[in-house]
Amino acid sequence: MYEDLAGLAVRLAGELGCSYAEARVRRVRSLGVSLKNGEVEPARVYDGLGMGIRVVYEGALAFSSINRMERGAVREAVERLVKRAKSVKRAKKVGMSDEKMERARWGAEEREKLDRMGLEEMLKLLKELDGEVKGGFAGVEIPSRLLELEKEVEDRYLVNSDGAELWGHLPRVSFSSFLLLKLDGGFRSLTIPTGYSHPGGTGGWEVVKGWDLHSYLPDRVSKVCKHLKKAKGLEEGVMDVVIGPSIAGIVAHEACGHPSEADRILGREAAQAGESFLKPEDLGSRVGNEEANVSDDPTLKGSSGFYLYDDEGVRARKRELIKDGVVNEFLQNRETAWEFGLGSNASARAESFSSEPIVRMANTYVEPGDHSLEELVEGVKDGVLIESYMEWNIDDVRVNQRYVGLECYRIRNGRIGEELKDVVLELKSTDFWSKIDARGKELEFLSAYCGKGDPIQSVPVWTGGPYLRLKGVRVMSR
Amino acid sequence: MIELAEKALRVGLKLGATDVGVLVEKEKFNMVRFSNNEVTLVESDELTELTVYLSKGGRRFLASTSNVEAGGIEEFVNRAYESCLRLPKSEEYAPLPSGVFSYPKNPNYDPRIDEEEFIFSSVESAINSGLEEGGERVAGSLHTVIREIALRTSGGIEASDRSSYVMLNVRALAGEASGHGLSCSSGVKGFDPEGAGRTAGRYCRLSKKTGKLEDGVYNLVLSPTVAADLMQHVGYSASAYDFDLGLSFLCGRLGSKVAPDGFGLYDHGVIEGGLNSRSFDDEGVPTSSTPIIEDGVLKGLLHNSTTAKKHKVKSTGNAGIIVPHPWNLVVREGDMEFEELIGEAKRGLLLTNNWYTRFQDYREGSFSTLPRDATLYFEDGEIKYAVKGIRVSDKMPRLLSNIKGVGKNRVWVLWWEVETPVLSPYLLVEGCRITTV
Repeated sequence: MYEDLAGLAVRLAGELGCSYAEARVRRVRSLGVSLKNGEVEPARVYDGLGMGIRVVYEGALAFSSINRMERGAVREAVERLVKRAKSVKRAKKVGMSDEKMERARWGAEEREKLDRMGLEEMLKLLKELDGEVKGGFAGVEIPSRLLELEKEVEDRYLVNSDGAELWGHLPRVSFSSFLLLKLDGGFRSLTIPTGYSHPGGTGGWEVVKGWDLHSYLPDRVSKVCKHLKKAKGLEEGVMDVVIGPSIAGIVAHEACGHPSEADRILGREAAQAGESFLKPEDLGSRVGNEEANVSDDPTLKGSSGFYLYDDEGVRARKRELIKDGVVNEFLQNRETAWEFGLGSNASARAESFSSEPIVRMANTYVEPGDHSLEELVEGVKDGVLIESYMEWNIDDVRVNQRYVGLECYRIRNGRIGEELKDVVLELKSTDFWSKIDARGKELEFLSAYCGKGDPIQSVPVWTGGPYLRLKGVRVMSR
Repeated sequence: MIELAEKALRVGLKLGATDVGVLVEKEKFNMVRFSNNEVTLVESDELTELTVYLSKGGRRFLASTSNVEAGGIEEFVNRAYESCLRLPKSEEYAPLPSGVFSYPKNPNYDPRIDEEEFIFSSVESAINSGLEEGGERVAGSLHTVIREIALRTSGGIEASDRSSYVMLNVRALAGEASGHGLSCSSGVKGFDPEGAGRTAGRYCRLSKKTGKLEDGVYNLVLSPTVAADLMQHVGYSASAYDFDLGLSFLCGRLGSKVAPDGFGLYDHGVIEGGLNSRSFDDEGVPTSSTPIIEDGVLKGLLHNSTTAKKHKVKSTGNAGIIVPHPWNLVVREGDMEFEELIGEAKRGLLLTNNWYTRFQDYREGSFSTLPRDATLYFEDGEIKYAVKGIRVSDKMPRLLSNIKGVGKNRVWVLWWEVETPVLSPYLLVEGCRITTV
C-alpha cells in the first residue's frame, strides 16, 4: 500500500514546517455489469490507485492528490502544497482537534470473496432477473429495463503526523434497476427500489445472496404495477400521514443528517452544498417532539456507510443527532471539532484518494418505536399512507423539503383503502420532527450515494427508519 | 501521453482484439475554496487516467485505470481482454470508426489560468466586491482546469487535444438574505471575478426585503444559471441512449414542435469559449454542431457509433462509448433585453439560482426544483421584494412549450448544479406552478 511513499509525504511536510500532515493511499478495483433489455452492455472495470496528501501550514489547509506513485511526485506535491498554503492569508487559523490516534487494521467481513465472483455469475443473475420481470405484471408491460450489478474492493492506508497508522479493507456490492412501465394511460419510468436508491452494502457475495433478488425484484415490480394500474390522485388537504421506512430514511438523511454537519453549520459549505438551519448555539435546543430520535452509525455491520476509523484516523462510534426532539450532537471532523472546542466524532470521509476528507454522514436513520404498521394505521381516522417515493428535494439550509409518493393509499377509520399515486408531502423540517406521533418497531435500510463537497464527492450511505405517523400535515397531488 | 495510448493499443491488438480504443486524460486541477470571507482550502491535483475499450467478436469491455505506471499497462490490458472474452456477444456491437478524419481546431486553451497570482487575486476581488455590494459574508470557490487528452484506436486514429477553463462560483450572504454570482471562461480573457462578486452582493442586497407569496401559477424569468440547469436536462434527454431506453421526456417527439418558433438548443463539440470543448469524441469521431431543438422542433439526438447504427444515422461525435452525451450546450440567442422580459412577464418571479432538480418520472418529465438565493417577486417591470420557501413544480415538455421570451445576452454557465456547460440567456416561461411552505 505504498506505506513508504505515504510516510515520506508526512515526513517532508513536517520538514517544510507543516503543523499537521496526513497521507491516504487508496486502491479501488471495481467491476460493473449491465443488462439493457436483455442485451449485455459493455462490462466496466476500474482500477484506481493514488495518494491524497493534506497539510496545515501556519493555519492554512491545503490538499493535493497524485497518482504517479514515485518519490519525486510525492516531493513535488508536498512542495506545491506548502507553496500554495503560503499564499493564503487567514485571520482565523485552521487547527485539528486532539484525538487518540491508533495503529490498527480494520475492515468489513467478506465471507464469500468478491474476487472469486466472476462476471459470468454476475451476468447470469441479471439475465435471470430480467427474465423474471420482462413479461410484466397484471397487464402492465415493461418494455424497457436497465439492470446493473457492481462489486468493488477498496484498500486504504492512512498515516498522519499525530501517530495514526491504519489499514482498511472495504468490499462493497450494489444492485440497481431502471424500468419503463407501459400502462393503460401511457408510460411511467421508475426505479426499484424506488427513489433512485438501491440494495447495497459492505461484504462479500453473501450480501448479494442475502438480498434474495429473485424474490425481491419480481415481488416489488409486480406490486408497483398492480398499484399504478388502479391508483388515482388525491385532493389537497390537511390530514394524518403514515410514511414508509424508505421515506423516513431519506428524511433522516436530508432533514437531520445534513443540517447536523458541523462544516455546514460553520458556513464552510455555503457556496455549493449550502448551510444549515441549525446554528452553533443550537446544540441542546429543541427541534421536534419526544418522538424525534435520529442517529447516524458508521459501525453498522454490512452497511454501505461502514467504517471503523474515519479518514482522519479517529475511531468510529454511533452519533445520536436528535434525541427526544433535542439536538444532541453535530457531525464533526477534527477541523470543525477544533473550531467548536469539542472532540471529533469520526465523521471525516473522502470519496477517493483525490478528495479532501470532509464531514459526512455514514448510516443515518430514525430510531424505531414500538408500534406495528397495523397499530399506526388504526390511529388514523382520515389520512394517507405514503409507502414509497420517487422525487424529493430540500433547500440549501435544509428546511423546505418535499417527497412525492409513488405507492400511496387512502386511510379511512383505521383501515387502508384505495390506491393513490403522486401524493406530495411538502413541509418544513422542524414541522416534520414536531408532528411525529408514533414510530413503527421495524427498522429498514436502503443504500444511496450522498453528494456534498466541492468538487462534489459521492459517498455510499444507508438511510433508514421505521414507519412513522405524522399528525395533521398538508398533502397535495402532483 | 500518446505513447502511453500507443502502448496500450499495441497490447490490445497483439492479444487479438478486433476493436481497441485508448483514451489518456491528464488533468491539472486547482481550487481555492473560501467562506466567511476567508480561504478555507487550497487544492492542487495532477492526475492521469487511461481508458481502454476492447472488443472481440461483438463482446465489449471498458477498463479504466489511474494506475498508469507504464510497466503495469500490459498486465492491465491483458486482464481486461481476458474478461472481455468471457462476455457474450452483443447484438448492439458497432465497430469503432476508422479512416482519416479532419478535426476542428479547439481554441480554448490558456495556461495562464494556472498562475498563482491570477488565482488568488481573482478570489480576493470576488470577496471584496461581494462585501462592497451588500454581503456580510462571502463564500465560494474558484476552479482552474487544464486538460490534455490523447486517443489511439484500431481504426487508425491518432489524435490529441487540450483545453482549459476557469470557474468562479460566489455567494454573498447577510442574515437570511443571499445572492449568487458566477463567472466562467475558457481563459483569462472574459473572466470577471469582480463582476461575479458584485452580482452576488447586489442580489444579496435585493433579497433583504422579503414578502409573502401564495401557492399558484406564476410567470418566471429564469436567470442564465437557472435556465442552464433546466436546459442541461433537455440535453441529457436528447442522448439516444436515454431515448432508446424510453426514459426521456423527448421520446415520441422527434420532428415535432416542442418549443416556440425561433427557439434553438444545440450541442457544440468545439465552440469559442466552450468550457468542455473537445475536437474528437471517445471513439475518435470529430465532434460537431448538432441541433437538438431548432425553430422549436425537436431535430435530432446525440449519437455514438452504437446508437447511430441502431438509428441508421451517422454518429454525431458525442461518444461516450456506452452513453452519448452533450459537450457544450448552446441556447440560441433571443431578441429581448432583461427589462423587456420582466416587462413582458408583467407579474411573476425572477429566479436567480436553483438546485436539486429531481424527477418524479423521467418519461413524463415531471420534476421540481428549488430556487435558492435571491428569488424576487416583480410587478409591472419592477422588483418588489424577495420570497422564501418556494418550489417550482412542473413538467419539462410544458415548460419548454411555454417559453415566451429569450434574452439577447448569453453567458457560459458551469457550476456545482450544472455539470455540462451551457451558453445560456435569460428565459421567460409563462404559467409555472409554484408551491410554498
